Amino acid sequence: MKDSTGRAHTAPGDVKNSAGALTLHNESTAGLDVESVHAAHGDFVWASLQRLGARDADLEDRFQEVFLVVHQRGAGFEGRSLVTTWLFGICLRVMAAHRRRAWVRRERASDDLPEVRGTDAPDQDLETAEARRRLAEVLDAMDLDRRAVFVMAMLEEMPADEIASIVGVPVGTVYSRLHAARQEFESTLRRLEARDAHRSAR
Amino acid sequence: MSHDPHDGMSPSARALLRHGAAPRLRTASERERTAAAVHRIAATPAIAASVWFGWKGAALATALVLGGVALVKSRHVEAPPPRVAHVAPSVSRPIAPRAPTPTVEPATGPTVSVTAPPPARVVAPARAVAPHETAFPRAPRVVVHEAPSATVEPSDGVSASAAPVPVRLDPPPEDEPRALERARASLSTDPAEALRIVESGAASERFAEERALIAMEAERRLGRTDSLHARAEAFLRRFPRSLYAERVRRWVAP
Repeated sequence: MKDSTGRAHTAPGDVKNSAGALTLHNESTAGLDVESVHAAHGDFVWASLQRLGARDADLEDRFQEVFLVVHQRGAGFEGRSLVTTWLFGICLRVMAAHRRRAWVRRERASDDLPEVRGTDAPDQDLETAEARRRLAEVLDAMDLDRRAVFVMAMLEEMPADEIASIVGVPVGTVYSRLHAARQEFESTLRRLEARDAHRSAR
Repeated sequence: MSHDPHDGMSPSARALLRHGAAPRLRTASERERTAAAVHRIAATPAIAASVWFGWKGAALATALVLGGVALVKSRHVEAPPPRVAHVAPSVSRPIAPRAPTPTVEPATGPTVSVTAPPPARVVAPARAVAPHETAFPRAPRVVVHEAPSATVEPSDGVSASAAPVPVRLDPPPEDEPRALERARASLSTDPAEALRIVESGAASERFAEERALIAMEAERRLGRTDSLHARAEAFLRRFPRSLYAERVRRWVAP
């Protein structure tokens, strides 16, 4: 799995247990402490929520929801999967619950995408922000099932069986959803590019 | 999916994934606020969180039970008439029966509100279809035979030309993803069986890559190097930009 910078997502304090699962350093596989998880994987949760469609306006609320679940369920974590896999599953369920709320469905139609934030390299930052905005626009066109599989496979680079265990579907369905998601991604992107070309030609 | 996952995508899609994939990092103030929030969560006994979630579960279970009882009661009281096409206007229940939806607002505290379904009449509730199921419609194959001869007189007096064309409904073939999943699961214990499944089942173009991959994995596990190389060459010729191309190249690398 990769982190937001594209590197394999292994926090400095992480170690692998005998079963090969990644666990937090000094943490027993029989339970996780919420603050340790936050210290090691807070950025991963932050990134995952964005990739699953959390907007800036409610990102912190969703983030807190995830860690509330971590606090509640961490004691039962047995280390049979990567911590990040477990966390991604929580992010997915939190976002699914969030999307089901009626007011969110109404709001999303007119929601503004994240603002561009200034840095020392404004040109590059603008370019990145624009790509990020466009990527969010394309991903928003997908339903959450496809989006989740696409994000896990294409951005997090998770193996199909791991995705299947998170989503709770057979591996064949993962491939099927990924296939459909890739096609939808390409067609939505082409449509948006055509729209932009049309606008700029006018 | 340990190879380049962007294989097979268009250049613009690859560029977008490359440049836009890095999410926005937390700002310093966001980092402070989220750390403080997690600290507050950690300071709360986990049991309190459990109680909070327990309330959600209890409310949902209660609503489900109430809804179920109401449903059974309404069915019992109103025996289904033989031909009910719609709910009569005199039934003043505007809300259709549906699964109760708990509304939870964690950020504002343990407030849970649940709307229990009213005991309204139900007419053949349709099963919800998950989005992914639509990708594999299981409509049975319809085989249309020749229309019956015009000399045959239907017993009910309807003319032969108006008689419905008989159709035969063949059982649907096994869902291909299911077959692939069975084959994949067999790889570690019985690769020969995995090979048999992928070579004998449905063979759509859509899953050609996955099928070939499982077959190659089976050949590899069976130690059939020659077959593996032949399949790999054919695979790479046919799908040079496949998601699995790098993996296959590794398998046959000298």
